[in-house]
Amino acid sequence: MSETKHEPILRARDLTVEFVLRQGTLRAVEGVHLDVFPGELLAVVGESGSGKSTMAYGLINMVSSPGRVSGGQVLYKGKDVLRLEPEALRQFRWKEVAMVFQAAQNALNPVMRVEDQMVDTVQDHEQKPRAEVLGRAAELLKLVRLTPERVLKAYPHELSGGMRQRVILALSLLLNPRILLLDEPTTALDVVTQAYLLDILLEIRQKFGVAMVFMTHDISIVAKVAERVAVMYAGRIVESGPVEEIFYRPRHPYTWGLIQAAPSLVGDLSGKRPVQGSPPDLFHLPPGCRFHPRCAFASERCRQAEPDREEFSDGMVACHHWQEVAAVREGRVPAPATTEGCR
Amino acid sequence: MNGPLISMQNISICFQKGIFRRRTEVRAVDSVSLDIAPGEIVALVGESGCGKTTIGKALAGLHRPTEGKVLYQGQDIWKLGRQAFSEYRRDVQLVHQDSFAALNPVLTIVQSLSAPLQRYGLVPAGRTVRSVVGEYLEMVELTPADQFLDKYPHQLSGGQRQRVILARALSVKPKLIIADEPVSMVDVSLRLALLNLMARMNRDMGVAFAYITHDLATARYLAGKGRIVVMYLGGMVELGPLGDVLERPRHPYLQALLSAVPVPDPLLARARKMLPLRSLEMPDPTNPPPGCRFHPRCPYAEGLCGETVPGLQPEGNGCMVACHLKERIPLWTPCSGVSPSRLA
Amino acid sequence: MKTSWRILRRNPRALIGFFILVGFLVMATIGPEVITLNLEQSFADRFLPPSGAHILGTDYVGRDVFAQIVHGSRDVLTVAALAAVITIFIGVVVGAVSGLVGGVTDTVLMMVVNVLLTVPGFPMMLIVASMFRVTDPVSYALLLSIWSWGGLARTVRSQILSLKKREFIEAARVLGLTSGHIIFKQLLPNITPYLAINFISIMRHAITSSVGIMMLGLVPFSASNWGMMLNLAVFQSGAIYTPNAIYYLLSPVVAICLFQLGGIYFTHGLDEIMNPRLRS
Repeated sequence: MSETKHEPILRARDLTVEFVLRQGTLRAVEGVHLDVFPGELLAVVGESGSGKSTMAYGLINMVSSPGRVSGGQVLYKGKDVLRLEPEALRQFRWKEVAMVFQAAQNALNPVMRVEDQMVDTVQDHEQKPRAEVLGRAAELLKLVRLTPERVLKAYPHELSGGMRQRVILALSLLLNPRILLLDEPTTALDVVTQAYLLDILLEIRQKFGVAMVFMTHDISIVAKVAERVAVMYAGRIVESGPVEEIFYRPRHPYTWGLIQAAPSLVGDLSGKRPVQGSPPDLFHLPPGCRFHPRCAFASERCRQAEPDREEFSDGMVACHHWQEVAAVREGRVPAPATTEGCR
Repeated sequence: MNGPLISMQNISICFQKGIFRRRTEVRAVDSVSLDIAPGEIVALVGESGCGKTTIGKALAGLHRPTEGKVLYQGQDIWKLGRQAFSEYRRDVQLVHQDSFAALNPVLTIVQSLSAPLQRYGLVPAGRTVRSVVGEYLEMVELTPADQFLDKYPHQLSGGQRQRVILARALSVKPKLIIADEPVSMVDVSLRLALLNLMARMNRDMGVAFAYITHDLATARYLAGKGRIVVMYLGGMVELGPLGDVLERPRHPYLQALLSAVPVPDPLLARARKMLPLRSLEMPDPTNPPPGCRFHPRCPYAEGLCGETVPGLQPEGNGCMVACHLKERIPLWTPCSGVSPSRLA
Repeated sequence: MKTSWRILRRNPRALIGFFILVGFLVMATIGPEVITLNLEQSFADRFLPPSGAHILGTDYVGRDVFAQIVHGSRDVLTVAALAAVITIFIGVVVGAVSGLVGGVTDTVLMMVVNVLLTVPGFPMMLIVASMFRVTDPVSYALLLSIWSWGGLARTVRSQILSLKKREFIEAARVLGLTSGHIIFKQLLPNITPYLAINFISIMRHAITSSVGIMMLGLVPFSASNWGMMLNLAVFQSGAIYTPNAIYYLLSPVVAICLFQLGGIYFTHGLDEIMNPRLRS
């Protein structure tokens, strides 16, 4: 992988998304800094309550009521997406940044044939003749391993879930966006189709140079395709870095916990253990570091203050004790006793 | 007790879809035979549509097989007298994938868990139902139990609900628990906790498990010392002791599956190559392919494969494979990338 | 109980509705004991406007309107409540049997329901009322229920059908719980929120129907009943021609509307009280 540092094409700074609900205000995303470099595949790993999907919607200013973006900026080519005029925002969406939603299989209009939807989507943004659009559509469908002749004339219900997912992927590439956001694109797929989809994503990236932000709850999937990984917990990014650093030299206890908790088909299972505790209750977040109730390295300092971001040349970590984590991992220091019980 | 705890003998389950002339038949399960010994863990692995859930429900007595018999402790469950059937119902429990749907949304946890205890008279004299329920909650690590007794299902997390369901199953002191994708709706970082709990129940209380899943990695974790049965489109394609089968997979479908499972290790994951299949699409279950059900997708398929259904053949060491070409199919090591077109 | 009160407090409309309904309940139960109904006719006092002595004025023969409303409320609300009980009972039994048993029974019952639903209810009630002498609240309630349980039966049936397939019912079967337990302790508690809300709705409809039938003079079994008041006011006493009589004319109407309002507002809060998932 090339080491030259390009300028990021998308920069989110201090992004905060709130949901105003009857029970209180929930901060699904808080103070998130995210950079997306051209042509890279960035994986965002987060489990329930992490806020990764909300963040994706925030990046394209599509957070719908009762949620709202309450702070921060998202810079794309010098302009702040959160403050764009409605028409400019519409142009931005799908043309510059496209998004493949979770369970996208149901995102297709059930009463339109696939080819009509493709043409519709393009003509909404650019005036292109139908034949040209269909030509490109056929090209993209072949790229996602579908036969255009069969798929274009079909209605969505005539295709299987896996096929629909790939149709949506082709649809998202029609306008040649610079960034593709994918929210759990493989969740409803079987293992074999999932593996093929990941390969297809790599091919797409290679062919079109489009940057991809891949959101998932399963860290095992990202090992194969990601270049950089950002880990989210309770609305914050707790660690980010190159994929090998994340997997072989994790700095944040949660990242390390995720890797240890991922059961594997190969290798020794003796080091595997679940992460202690329960997913965070976003209405009643613990004081200080949000992860501390489940963290074996937690100290009084963690209870009192949220950790600051520690920046490195290739990533960051937000943890008071990241150096200890490294020491324990390398075997220089014995592991601390694990926290008790399941809260 | 000699002999298997529960035994499926040549089970086939067909569903009818549609009415009148447009009636189509779906063979969800085709000629499956499976024995589970007391205290054993068997992993039933396959993708959606392979029939594993239907087998689980047949084991639990919820689907009546169209052909074949389900024997519990040697007797056909569908011919049992009232008393014996009641015992069978108690001994064989089911854990669903969707923990939220498996709990009555308008009952509190203690109300849901009291029902089976009271049904079987399992509350000893001098103790309250609440305290017995509390004891089971503590057994599944929901401590302090008081915090959970009066909650409604929607107030708990997925992992906590699944523990409640395990507690409910445990409370009737079963001999076999059929767990249908128990962890797929739980956060990945918490799955091992539930699997460890199930392993403990197996080890300390001798409860046998039929672990149904599409996730080979968790199957390896839980049933590492047990057996695995791999299903495809209603039929068994390979089975045997899990360690042996995963080390030396013979059926091309299993090889494809193993090569596609994601591995949480970047260097290893990138070096792995998938076994290329001829098609990504699963066939329509109402119209299965003739001969071997896998042959349209199989890279090794030859003429015979499209004509005759391969039966399960023993491979030694308790392993069995259903493939005409099993002798000649090379071992696909995902890291070596041997081209499948070369058969020995 | 405490959570119910808390929920009501937070929802001003439900609270208002609650108080209105409680007010009517008090009126119907204790009212007639407290307020005496003087049926003496005094032509000189006819159509008096509201005053200290007559809160809502007098009717066409000088009798106090407010007292009539209070006394009439007992009959009206009793009939409505009874009608709701009977309707719900029939609806639930038919719907549950249909949903649980299925097969031919289900088809037959649903055919009956369909016929019932296509026949217009109110006209049928009028016809039956004019054919059979209705003399007491119970038979009146029966008359009102016969045509109204169809919709409820259908929704109960579809709820049962969908609940039957839910995993927690399957789990109950695997746990060996008895059918009786499953029906009464697992299925029905999921339906009761719906029934409770429907109770008030059915009462509201029953009031409108019963008052309507009485206003048309078909069931004249009690003079102070609101429906009879309207009948006398509109058809027999010339009240619609006398400006002063507006209080007499509108009192029963306003009483009915107020009850409807109370019912509607209260059911807004009732949903949250009965369904634990909607609470925070």
